[in-house]
Amino acid sequence: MKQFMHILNFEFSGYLKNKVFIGVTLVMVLVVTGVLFFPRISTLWSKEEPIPEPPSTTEPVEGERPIVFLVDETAADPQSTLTYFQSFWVHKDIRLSQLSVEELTEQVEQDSISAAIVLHTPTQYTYIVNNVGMYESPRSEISQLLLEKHRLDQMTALGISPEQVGSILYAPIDGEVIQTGKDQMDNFFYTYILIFGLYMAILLYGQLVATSVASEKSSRAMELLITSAKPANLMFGKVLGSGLAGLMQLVAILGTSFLCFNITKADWVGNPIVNSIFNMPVSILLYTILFFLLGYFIYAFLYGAVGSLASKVEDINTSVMPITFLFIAAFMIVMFSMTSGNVENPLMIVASFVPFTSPMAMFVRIAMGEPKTIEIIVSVAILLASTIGIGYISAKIYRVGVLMYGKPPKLTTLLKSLKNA
Amino acid sequence: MQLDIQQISKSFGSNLVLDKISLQAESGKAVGLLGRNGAGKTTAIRIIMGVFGPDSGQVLLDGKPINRDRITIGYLPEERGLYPKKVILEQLIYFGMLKGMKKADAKASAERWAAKMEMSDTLNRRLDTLSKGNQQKIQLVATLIANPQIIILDEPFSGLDPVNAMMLKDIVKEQIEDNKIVLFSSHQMNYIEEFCDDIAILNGGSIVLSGNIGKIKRSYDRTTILISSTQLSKIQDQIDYPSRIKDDQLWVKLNNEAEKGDLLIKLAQLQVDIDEIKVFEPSLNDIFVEYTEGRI
Repeated sequence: MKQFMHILNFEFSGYLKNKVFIGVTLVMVLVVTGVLFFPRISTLWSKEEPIPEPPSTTEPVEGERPIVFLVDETAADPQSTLTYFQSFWVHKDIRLSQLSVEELTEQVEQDSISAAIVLHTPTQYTYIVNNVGMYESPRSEISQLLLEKHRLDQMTALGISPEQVGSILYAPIDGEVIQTGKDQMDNFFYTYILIFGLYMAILLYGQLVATSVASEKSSRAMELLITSAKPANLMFGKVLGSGLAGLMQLVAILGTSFLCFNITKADWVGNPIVNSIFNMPVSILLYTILFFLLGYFIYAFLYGAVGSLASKVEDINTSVMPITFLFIAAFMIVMFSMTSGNVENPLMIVASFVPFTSPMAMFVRIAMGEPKTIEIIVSVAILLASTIGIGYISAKIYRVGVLMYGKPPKLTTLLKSLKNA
Repeated sequence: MQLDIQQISKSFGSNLVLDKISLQAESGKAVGLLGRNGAGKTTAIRIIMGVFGPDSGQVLLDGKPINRDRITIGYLPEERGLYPKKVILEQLIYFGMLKGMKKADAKASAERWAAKMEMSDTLNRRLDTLSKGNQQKIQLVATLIANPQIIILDEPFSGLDPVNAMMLKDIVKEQIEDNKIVLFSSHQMNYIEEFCDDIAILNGGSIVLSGNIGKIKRSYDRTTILISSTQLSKIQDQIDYPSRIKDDQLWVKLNNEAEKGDLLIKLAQLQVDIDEIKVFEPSLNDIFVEYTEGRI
């Protein structure tokens, strides 16, 4: 036990002394801080615009507004049509014109005006424009404006007062939803981020364990380690040490983001995504840590065992491929189920009990679906038991593997030597 | 203390690596473990260290099965290995602690050994900044840091310059005088002869020769006489025994040891200038080659 603690301590402090590890953690913490403080920082830079709003509502600067020519061929009352458009398109300099469609097209092409609207009848128009931006939809906008104007005109003609028209067209509807389950859309963002985090962390730390074992082997430090300490201690110490380092990184990043969010809460009031992420239930956070630990351990043991079979660090990439594929497959199942909107599909239910997929699948079901408590308990129990089992087998593989040099052994050779170990 | 390796066999798969080898070593003595590459030395060492168990046979210490939690074994592996990217003092302390030392003791011991090997100024550097010979000295510190009762040295002299080799020789001698059990494996026979009273030659998984070096040498027949002189051809012409000149010496083959006196009388009568007359003893090298050549 004492020896195990020394190994754990050595491995863990190895991460703390590793400049790359510290650097990456700091960068991630800074990025999270930067993102969460962004609205506040950007208001500091532009004080006259305290809240940056979409350009359509900003007060336009005279002379810089794009010119739009309006031709009203219905001839009923061009001035009222102009006033109507001006009241909605404040960011454009709308002027009445008598030009024909061809002449207007020419002007638009020459950039002397930005666009032109020609009203043929109250419900028929031509819009002439050069470039349309990605998020602009002038056609539906104009159609909507004209439709409303048409309704208004028609109703007024029938003797209904504009106020009455307003109350008919824009009667407020008040509704309430009583929800007994979860809103998958609401949970989607934080689940997505957490699953991605789990995926990255498990893959990254698993690979680190494999690389670390293989480099001890290739530098032959293993010769001394294996004769100074028990192989199981070496394996578990390394896996636990890396796990602690990972957990610390996770806590640092989660902690920083929650801290920053609490400071900048007011800036994010209008942002549903950010609010959904930070208003996740505490239980989800605890499940994140539980499944990170279990998922990490089961994969880290596998990675450690594979690392012990490689003689050179360069061999690691090919050796760990099967494990990485297994993990990516689990990730894919979960991601597809999440985006399909049904996380309780049969594949996910099976996956949430299979040890290698359950860390992510069960987590997503808890976050976005409705698993029964007993299902969660069974899934965690299976995962826990398999983690211990895999840990035991991995320690055995490690014991045999670390002394094998040369080409990584075939599976059958490995099983034979395991029997002897 | 006495280390007793009894009838140890070990195979990996169908490959029999050790076949009933036995070996004894006691405190205050060094045993030379010789063998060609692949003879099974490392496997034998690993079994002694408890990295894996033997298929049959046992390792005894003072007559009882060895308890590796109670005693400390220091091992200098042939394939040198420490953490190249880590600070030397840190990893020395780590290896000391793995052997059950307290941190402060491990640090003090590392510093003491480093001072002895004139390596004190390197302790806060990374291992890979050191030359190969200096890395090896650090490796030796790692071997001796926990004051082991049993010391296993596998090719300790390879890569050391003569001054460092001398330093290491003194340290090994000190450890032997300090009543440690020393197992010494090397292909440099002169070092074996210098330190070891007993040797065991391992070949093809079996011990083909073991015992006291002096006795082994004396077991060879003592009827070949070597004569050094400036008048070798004159002597060769005058004596009646079969002889040849090799390496500036006259090799005379007698029929039996009783003829030594006759040869001396003859030489005295010749009145030639003689520098040295001695009985030929095979070197350890000759013995090693004789027992391992073509047998693997």
